[in-house]
Amino acid sequence: MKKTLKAFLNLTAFELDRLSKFLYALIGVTLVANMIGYVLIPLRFTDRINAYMVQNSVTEQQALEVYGELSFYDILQTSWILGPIALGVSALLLYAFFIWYREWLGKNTFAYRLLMLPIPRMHIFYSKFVVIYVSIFTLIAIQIVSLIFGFNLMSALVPSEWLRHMSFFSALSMHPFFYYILPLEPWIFLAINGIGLVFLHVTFTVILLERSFSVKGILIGITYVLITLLIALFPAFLPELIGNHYYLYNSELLILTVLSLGLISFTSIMISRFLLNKKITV
Amino acid sequence: MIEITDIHKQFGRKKVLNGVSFTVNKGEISCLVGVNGVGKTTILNAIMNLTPLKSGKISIDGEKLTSSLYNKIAFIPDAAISLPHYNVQESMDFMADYYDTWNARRAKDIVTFFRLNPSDKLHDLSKGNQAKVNLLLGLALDVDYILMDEPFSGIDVFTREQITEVFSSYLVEDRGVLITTHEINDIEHLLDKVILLDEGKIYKEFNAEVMRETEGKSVIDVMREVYNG
Repeated sequence: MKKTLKAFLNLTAFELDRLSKFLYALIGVTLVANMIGYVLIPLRFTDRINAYMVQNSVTEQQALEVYGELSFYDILQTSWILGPIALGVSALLLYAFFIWYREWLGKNTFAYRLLMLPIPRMHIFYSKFVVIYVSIFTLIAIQIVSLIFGFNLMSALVPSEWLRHMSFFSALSMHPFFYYILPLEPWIFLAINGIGLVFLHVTFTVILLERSFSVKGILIGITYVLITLLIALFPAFLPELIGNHYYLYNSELLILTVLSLGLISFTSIMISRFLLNKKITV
Repeated sequence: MIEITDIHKQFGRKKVLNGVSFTVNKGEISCLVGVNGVGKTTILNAIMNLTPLKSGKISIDGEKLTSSLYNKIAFIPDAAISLPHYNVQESMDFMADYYDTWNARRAKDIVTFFRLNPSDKLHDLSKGNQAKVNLLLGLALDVDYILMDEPFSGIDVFTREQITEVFSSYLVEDRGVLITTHEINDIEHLLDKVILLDEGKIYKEFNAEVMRETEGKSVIDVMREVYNG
């Protein structure tokens, strides 16, 4: 294996190892919260139906007319499921900053060691980048497995005639949040991940700007974010900018969006490379 | 040879380095001396491409420092730079993973000499022992040049003696060494060249031994003359 590739894989494995406890904690919280939701919601539902039938001496059917049937969609809407996802998203967002700042802050300045490794400095950038993405996909994978398990658990806990018949995929695609988090359509998957990649590139660039120019770097970073926003949104405003004289097809707008996002990513990589090689300071 | 040519560095409006030039040759131990804030650490950081310069040129054996040259030059800063939750052995393994120049045998010798326990976590070590680990990780590299920033900072007299002994054993050979220190007495006998910095410039560059023999002055005496007027 080529030496630099081996060094990159080593560094990525090293970064993953540093993240592992944090990731395990997120996975643990997700699974525990999900499990509570999968059990608690169906049990509460069955209790409520049973209690209503006993208290009012009515049939199952009459009780179901009052409370409605349970569907997996009802479970997806609870904070037992949405809460850990929100936690995971915000935790990884914070981790995108922490993954850099921890090298400078604290008692040990590990930035010295990292920057003096006999490997291209962009390896440091991409090892951190890959680790964030691995974490995102790990959490998504865990969430998918958990949801499949939850769907089956709900079906086992609640009598089938009390359940609204809705497939697993229908429940997911109906939910506006899961429609984007776990997209069933490939283009949505690509769009979400494309935006995520660009976002992470810009975030890392802003962090490196701050690490290179301190307070001045924060101002440059904010300016850079505003410029990237303008570039990213430019295709959406293009028809108005050209006075709607020319009609742009959706496919053309999509190409323009992809190009502008690609431009932002490329520029961010180039700036980060320059900063890491020439401007970064311990 | 490490060649530093007319380097300038500014922090905000304050000029820290104002046209500093000198060389560090192989087989020679050079020492940068000067009062606090005179720019000693900045020079070492600049050589290692850890801080950008306003202008000037630094080359190592005629080449600009690139990542591959980190196999040729080691820097032992005045700060703990390994992961605190790692133990001594894990810190050495990390170095072995990335550096072609890692000399496991020498590392083992230094661990034994310093009486370090490979299973001790770095965050549990005293400041003196952390400094020893820093030295171990730098000196166990088979590099041509070693830079050391305040290797005796905050370290007791016995540990200083040990470190000086390690210097004598491992710094000689054919390496070029650049040290900054306030504890000049401990290593004066090892020095070939002293570079005295003042107000961002090199005030004086001299051979410690020649100075002692010809003018009967120690490095400290020369420093007193400069800084006390």
